[in-house]
Amino acid sequence: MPRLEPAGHKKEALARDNEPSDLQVEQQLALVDLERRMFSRLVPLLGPVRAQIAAVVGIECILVITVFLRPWFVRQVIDRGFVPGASGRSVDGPFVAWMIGGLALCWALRFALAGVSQYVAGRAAIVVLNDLRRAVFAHVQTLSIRYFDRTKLGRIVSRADRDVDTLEPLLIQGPPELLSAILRCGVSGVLLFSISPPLFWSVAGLVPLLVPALVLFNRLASRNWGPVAERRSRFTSHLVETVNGVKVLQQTGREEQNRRRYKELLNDFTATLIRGNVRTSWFPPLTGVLSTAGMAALIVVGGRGVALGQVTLGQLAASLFYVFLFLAPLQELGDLFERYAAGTAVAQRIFLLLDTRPEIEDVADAVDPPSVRGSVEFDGVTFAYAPDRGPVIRDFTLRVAPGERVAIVGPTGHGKSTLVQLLTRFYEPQVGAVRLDGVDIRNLTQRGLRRHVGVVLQDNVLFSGTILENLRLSAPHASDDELIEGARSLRVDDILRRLPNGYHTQVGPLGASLSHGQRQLVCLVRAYLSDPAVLVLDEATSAIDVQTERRIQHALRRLCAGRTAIVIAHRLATIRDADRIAVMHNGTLAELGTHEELLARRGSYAKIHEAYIRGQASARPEPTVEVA
Amino acid sequence: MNDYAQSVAAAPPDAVSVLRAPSVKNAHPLLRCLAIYRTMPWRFASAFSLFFVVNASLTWYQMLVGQAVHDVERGRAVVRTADGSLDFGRAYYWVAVLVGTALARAVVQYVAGIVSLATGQELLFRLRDSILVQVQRLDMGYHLRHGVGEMVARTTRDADKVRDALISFWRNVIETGLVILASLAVLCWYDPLLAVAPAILTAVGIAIFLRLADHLVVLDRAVSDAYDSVSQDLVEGVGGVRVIKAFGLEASRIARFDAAVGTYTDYATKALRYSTSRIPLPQVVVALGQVWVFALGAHLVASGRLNVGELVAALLAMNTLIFRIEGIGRIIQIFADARASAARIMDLLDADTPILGGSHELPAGPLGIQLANVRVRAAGEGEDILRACSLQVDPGEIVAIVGATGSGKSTLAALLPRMLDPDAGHVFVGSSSGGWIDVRTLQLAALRARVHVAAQESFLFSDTVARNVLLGSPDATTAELIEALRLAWAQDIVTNLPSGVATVIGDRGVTLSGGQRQRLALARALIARPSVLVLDDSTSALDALTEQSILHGVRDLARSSGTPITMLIVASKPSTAMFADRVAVLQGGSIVAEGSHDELSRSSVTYRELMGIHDAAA
Repeated sequence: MPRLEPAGHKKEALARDNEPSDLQVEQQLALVDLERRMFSRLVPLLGPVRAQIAAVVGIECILVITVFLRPWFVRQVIDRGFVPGASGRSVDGPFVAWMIGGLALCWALRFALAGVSQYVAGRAAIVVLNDLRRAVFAHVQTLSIRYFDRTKLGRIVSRADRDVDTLEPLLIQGPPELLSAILRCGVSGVLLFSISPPLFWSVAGLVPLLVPALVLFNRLASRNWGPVAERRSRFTSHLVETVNGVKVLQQTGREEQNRRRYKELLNDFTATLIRGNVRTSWFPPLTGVLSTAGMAALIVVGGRGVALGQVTLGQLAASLFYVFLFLAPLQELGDLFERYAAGTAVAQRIFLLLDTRPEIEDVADAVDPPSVRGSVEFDGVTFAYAPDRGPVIRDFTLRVAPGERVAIVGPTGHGKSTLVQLLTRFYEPQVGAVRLDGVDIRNLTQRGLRRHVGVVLQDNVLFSGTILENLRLSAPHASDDELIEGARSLRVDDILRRLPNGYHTQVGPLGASLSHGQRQLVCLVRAYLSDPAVLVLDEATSAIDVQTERRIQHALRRLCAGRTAIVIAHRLATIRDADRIAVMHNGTLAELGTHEELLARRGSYAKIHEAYIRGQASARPEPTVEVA
Repeated sequence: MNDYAQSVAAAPPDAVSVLRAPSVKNAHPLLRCLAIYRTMPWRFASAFSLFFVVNASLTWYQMLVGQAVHDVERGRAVVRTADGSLDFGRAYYWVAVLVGTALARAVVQYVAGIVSLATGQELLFRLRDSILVQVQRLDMGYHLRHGVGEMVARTTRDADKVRDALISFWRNVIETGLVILASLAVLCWYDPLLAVAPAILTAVGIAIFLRLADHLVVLDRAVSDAYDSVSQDLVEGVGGVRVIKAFGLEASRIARFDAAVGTYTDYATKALRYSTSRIPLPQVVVALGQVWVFALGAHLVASGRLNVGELVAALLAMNTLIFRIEGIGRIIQIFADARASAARIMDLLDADTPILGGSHELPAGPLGIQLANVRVRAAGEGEDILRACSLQVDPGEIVAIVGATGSGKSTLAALLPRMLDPDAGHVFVGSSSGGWIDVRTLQLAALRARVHVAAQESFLFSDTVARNVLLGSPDATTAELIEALRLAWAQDIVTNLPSGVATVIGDRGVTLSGGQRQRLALARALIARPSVLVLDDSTSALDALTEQSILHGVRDLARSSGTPITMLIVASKPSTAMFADRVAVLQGGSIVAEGSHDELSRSSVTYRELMGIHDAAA
């Protein structure tokens, strides 16, 4: 997102960092704290793949054995494979051949089993992660509209998308790798001890040094992850905005500023990433030094043992491998912890989403009326989207009789669309009540309310699939013919048939392949097919060619017939069709009455009407603010 | 004046110039990305040297261990002296040498890690910067052909894949290469014969990996295609949430999503099965190298050409090599996968825009516009969008363009500030009295500052209201900002926002309705004080009252201030057409009728149909 401040305004740049991060916004919405024990929540996810995990654990154990067999072969050959002869040593052929064969088999087994283990673990990952993905999606569907209005689409999507994938190393590969690390460490410790206790102690003495280093590393690494991810998402969203708004940037000649801002964001990201690494990347070199120290200790202690005849040369050679096997898992722990840190940060976000309760929930004894007559009542409704923003609806009262058609008119941005949000209970008013057939809609189930209150929204969203599939959404059990009959009733059949594949035309993601007008028509048919008692229609304002416009007007009339209709109207034809007209101003009901009554009053409606009718120079209206 | 467009067109960023160098242009797309390192030879060289030192010192260290063990073997490390006590002299020497080497190596390793990270990030920085510059530089034609979705995918998803490959470049390509070389060098040092089989087996193993990689990429592609429909359902499930709730579609959307996830998991399992069953083969092949070292080594020890310590060191070196190769399958896969992405990014970076600025300056004073026999071809097969299209608008004149959906009105609008160039014909600005100038000869930034198109979609950035409006004129004063908002009838939007003009809008801040966005976009256009203002359906979401108020306000201001604004209004409502001095009807790609609303209402059937005034004409 291009921030266009003059160069050198550092203060502002700093202030920006204090803006609530997206995560904080989500946290506010969730009303629960992010910091919580992740472990107890992650483990139950593994339930369905217990068997696979057990299998992987088993295979890892076998793999650990092969790991220890390899140095054993070396030791055997060194200690027993050479036969001292007259001319120095000679090789004990058959014995060495066996050992060589054993080593080859060991490697083959190692990689074959690793393949099997990866398959089983990978399969388990696919199961667990996609179950979680489904759960996140299903949960998202239960959330209330405010959540969607406040949270970036991209961030909600990434919860069920990338975030879930990030858990794989933590949940699936993590446990077997941890087990394998512990086993290798433990077994090599035991073997070292069995060869010579002093050998063991000389290497084990390193552990007290390694453990605090590991803890420190873990703490630093987990602290890095969040800031880096935040900065990555900042520059990515800047790029996405640039692509979307490139026309505006070119038109206004702001490319250079925009590029400068992008570079700032990139530099900020890189600096954060490198700063983090400066703090944490001492760990791998340190472990290298420690394992060398172990090796050196072995030379001293082993050398003593050889000198005293307590340790054979083969044992010493094997224990060199064991030192690696003992220390390497401790190094891997660093990597495991890092993944744990990254994974838990993501898991927190996922659980945060799963913990977010829908703001609007059905009350315990909510009713689902089988049918309604269709009277609608706004009773003293006051509503603000947020406490810190002024109310958009103020003490609004309006009663609509069953079968009546009311047009809501008024300037853009004065709360007309908000009425739709309240009547469909996407939001709830802070004061007053909205009633359907005299029942407060908060006492109805949301499903029941929305079955009787149909809406056609401005954005005219369709879902990818064919037109028929979209129509079927509102009438799941209807046959194709019944669906087409619906289109015919609204007299839009011919328009839809003329599309490339008629009713089987793919509409594209969110309906993007159709024009505004076509989409609107499909939406009208969709609403018609669901046959609600109350219809709320937020008339699309976007310009459409006149032919399509006329079809829409006709379809609209047909759609409204025989039901209560509340229409946010932008077109004169729609307004004139209404039984009564409500004029909204600044969230209040400014005027209410029939077309003739309101014209006679010569109030704000008369002015609006005049502007509509004449729409030319002589009818220059007063500024909106003074209309009421 | 902003001459960015010219400057970038004339001299693309150094990264891009490297990518376009003849020696690089035809290379593998990923290698072309890596060629950006040419722009920072010193950083590259220092990172490479550090890596070389780290790995060479590892080899050195392994050989030291071999010697130390050999000393133990010969009983020299710890010597039992005549008095029965033990002399640890040699052993302590080895401790000092080994630990000292390791410490020095650790420091270099740390520095190498940081330097290579910084170098790799610098490469990505330059690549990302080049992509952004290119996105901003390419004309509307390119953007329209490729669509926002594809452009976003290229600049984010493809760029991420390339990043994954480039990030693994240091650790996985440079370091793995050095480890292989170092390990083989150790073996060679002890006995050249020891290195023969491991070298061959490693080469064979890598060859098998490479063969597998192509099929793995095909499988992965199928997986990601399956994932695309998961993604799409996800986006629709969030983006279409109001409709879902309104129609109670939650359950069916969830079922659909579950099915898409099911298909995806099937493909993912298939790919997993293939990779886990095939990849062990090359791994085993490489591991057989150690068996060779073991067998030959035992023979050499027996014949006295190798000591036990050296055998152990050789086996340890092979261990290092095998474990390095173990992960190489994944790396080759990342690279194979990134190839197509890199190719797509290179396509983007290679694209050239035909729209370059000229050198002429615009004359001061009012501007008119003229299209002369303009032709614009459709992107695909289809008929021309504009054909032999001619239109003249004199300075200060207000002309409405009407036409059916898809008749090319927006294309016509885009020609004026050269968002698009015609395939044939000319676009001029100027006036009949002062002469007409071909827009191609003009400085691009200057032209766009004077000829402003406000589009229907009214894109706003996630930024404050003030900064969004000030895009049109960054140096404007607060008074000018308020005036622009007033003219666009947008003050009440601002008054109702929590922090006024400082409120952040968009994804991260408050959401605005379509009409509110359009008014802010209009304010952005008006604050630029253009000489030619093109309203491309940019008042479509406003009610008639507001629309008329804005149009009149702009005209009156232009008249009273004595600086006429030439207006071209893409209109679909009769009221807008009536507002204009003249109406031009666009049909079949050219202007078929011109005149006042009243004239056209009488004379033009097309116009009457477009405006829905059949009855009036009768």
